[in-house]
Amino acid sequence: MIKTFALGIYPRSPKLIDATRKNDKKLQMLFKIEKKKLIKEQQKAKLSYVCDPLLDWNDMFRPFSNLKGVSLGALNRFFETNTFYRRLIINGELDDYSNIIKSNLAFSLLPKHKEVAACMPDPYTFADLNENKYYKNHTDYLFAIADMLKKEAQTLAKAKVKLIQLNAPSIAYKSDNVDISLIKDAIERIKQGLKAKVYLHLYFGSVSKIFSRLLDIKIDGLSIDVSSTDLNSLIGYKVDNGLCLGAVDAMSTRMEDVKETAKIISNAFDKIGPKEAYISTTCDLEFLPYEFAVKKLSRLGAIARNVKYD
Amino acid sequence: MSSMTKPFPTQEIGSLKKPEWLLELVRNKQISDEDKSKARNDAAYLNIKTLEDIGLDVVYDGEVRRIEMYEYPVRYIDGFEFAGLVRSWDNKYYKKARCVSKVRYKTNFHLDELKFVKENSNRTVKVPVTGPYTLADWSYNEYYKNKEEFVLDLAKNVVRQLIIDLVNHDADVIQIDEPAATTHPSEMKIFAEAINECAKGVNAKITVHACYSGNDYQALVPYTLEIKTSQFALEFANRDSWKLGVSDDVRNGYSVLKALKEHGYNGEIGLGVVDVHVDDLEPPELVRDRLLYAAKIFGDPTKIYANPDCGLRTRTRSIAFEKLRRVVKGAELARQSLS
Repeated sequence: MIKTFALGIYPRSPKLIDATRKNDKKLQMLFKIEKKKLIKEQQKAKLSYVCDPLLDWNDMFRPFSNLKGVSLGALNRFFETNTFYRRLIINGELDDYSNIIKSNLAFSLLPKHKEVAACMPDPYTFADLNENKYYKNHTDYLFAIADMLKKEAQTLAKAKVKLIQLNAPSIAYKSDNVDISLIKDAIERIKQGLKAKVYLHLYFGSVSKIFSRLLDIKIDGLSIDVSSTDLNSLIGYKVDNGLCLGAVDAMSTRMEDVKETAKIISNAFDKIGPKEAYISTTCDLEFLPYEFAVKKLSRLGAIARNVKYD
Repeated sequence: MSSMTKPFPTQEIGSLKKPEWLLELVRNKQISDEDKSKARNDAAYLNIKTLEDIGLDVVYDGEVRRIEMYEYPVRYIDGFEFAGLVRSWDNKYYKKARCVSKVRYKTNFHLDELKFVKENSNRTVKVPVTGPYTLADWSYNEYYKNKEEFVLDLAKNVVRQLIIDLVNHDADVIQIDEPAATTHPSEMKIFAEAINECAKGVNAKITVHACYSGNDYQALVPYTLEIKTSQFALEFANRDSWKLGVSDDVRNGYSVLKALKEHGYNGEIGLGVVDVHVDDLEPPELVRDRLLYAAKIFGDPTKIYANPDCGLRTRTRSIAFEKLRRVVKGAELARQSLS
């Protein structure tokens, strides 16, 4: 059986949404209870890795607003979704606190016997979606972010996180216009010496044209959203590392047919032949209502159990 | 009737925050439907008269009878089922629907509000109507083969029917609200076609409101000549500086106006002159300079309408009304400057 995980921000249940609106006194307790429920759903779906469902994260950058030299800016549309994030303003040198992500994850709720995965923005997406008012040029800015994220990743690895997914929608969305060699340098800084697997998650745009160059990045694997990138366009490349296919569409309420999807994915893995094979959701589940997200988790697990790949 | 001859006519965009007393009353299960209906009329009357007193040339009722711009129309269109809540930002969520069968127009869900506004105002009445592209973009599509089919079916079979029905009941101006318009730059052709479908055979002024495009409306500019609308009412103020003046560097939030002019667009512009996401109140002189800057580029000030960036429902009522007063005062100052 291939491995599977579903990382990123999960949707809040109606009960939790109601509590956040009312700023309920028991809100923190409720966050814990609701996180536990979703972690149980991950286990019920038999996902290979468990993760914090990040119900208390308002967007993927918000925890970093606590860093010295960073302030919160205006709301901005998150790519072509109807969800908005707050842009961070980088006013000073990014400090090396190194514990931002870990301190915002509920490790105590995660089962001890399961492997843990976590996610963070990739340095290019971080640089692209936030505003630099401090660093003299884009390269300095990008590498400062990469160095800051490297320390975060090291802290996670020390906390026994086995797999770190770098969320890279900007690379996919702007694939016609990205400097891959610069991105490669920034991402490899994070991976160098790290005792956890690193996967680069490319979604919200097709990476067909840059796939061969992305394969040169020295990390453990690429994760591709197959609703944006044509699966056929990946066939024919030699994939020496891992490959994760985002096979469950987290932007659509339409439920995948387990057998049909498993067959398509099995064929693709057979033809591509990666060293390690995973499947996941196309992006964070937060773009779906709670009940649909839970159903998608279950589909993800079922599809993984039906994929045949040795 | 609906185009103005004075420079810098003033208008609102749509929604206002509902009064607390109204919300408490409509949530109270002990109150009868008849009394709730009366309360909604009272609130609508209050909004209409306040907007008139402030001095706006074009008014509506603050959308006081609508839950919000997506959920309200979707409730009345066949083919949709609500899926659940999805985040807009932070703790703000909206109820998102799935399209599970062919969409059909059932009833004119804005008729009561239009009739009431027409009975109670002598000003030009502009009815905001959620556009087909936004209705489709903010929904999950489980029925149509692709988005284009979904959007065009909504345009032909729902929104155009609604608009024709509103015009048959004497609506002066229809504002098609399309906040999603430029979200997907590659789909602008679908958006343009959908607006033209909505406008087909409609004997009234059609305007289009878009906002928070994320790409400074660059995706919209190439389509402005083919979209059959008299006016684009757009958000600008939230991106602009608060310094006074009419130079390009000071009015940096309005840079797309030049691109529109260069493209040959010579219709009306609804110019967002106050930011609806901050409580800070724009001085009338700032509103004046934003309008004068637009006139410097477009020439004819009768084609430049002064309005907020978007509906003011996220602000308290007192802040919202004060912002609208500044829109009116700023337009007066701009007229004085021209004379």
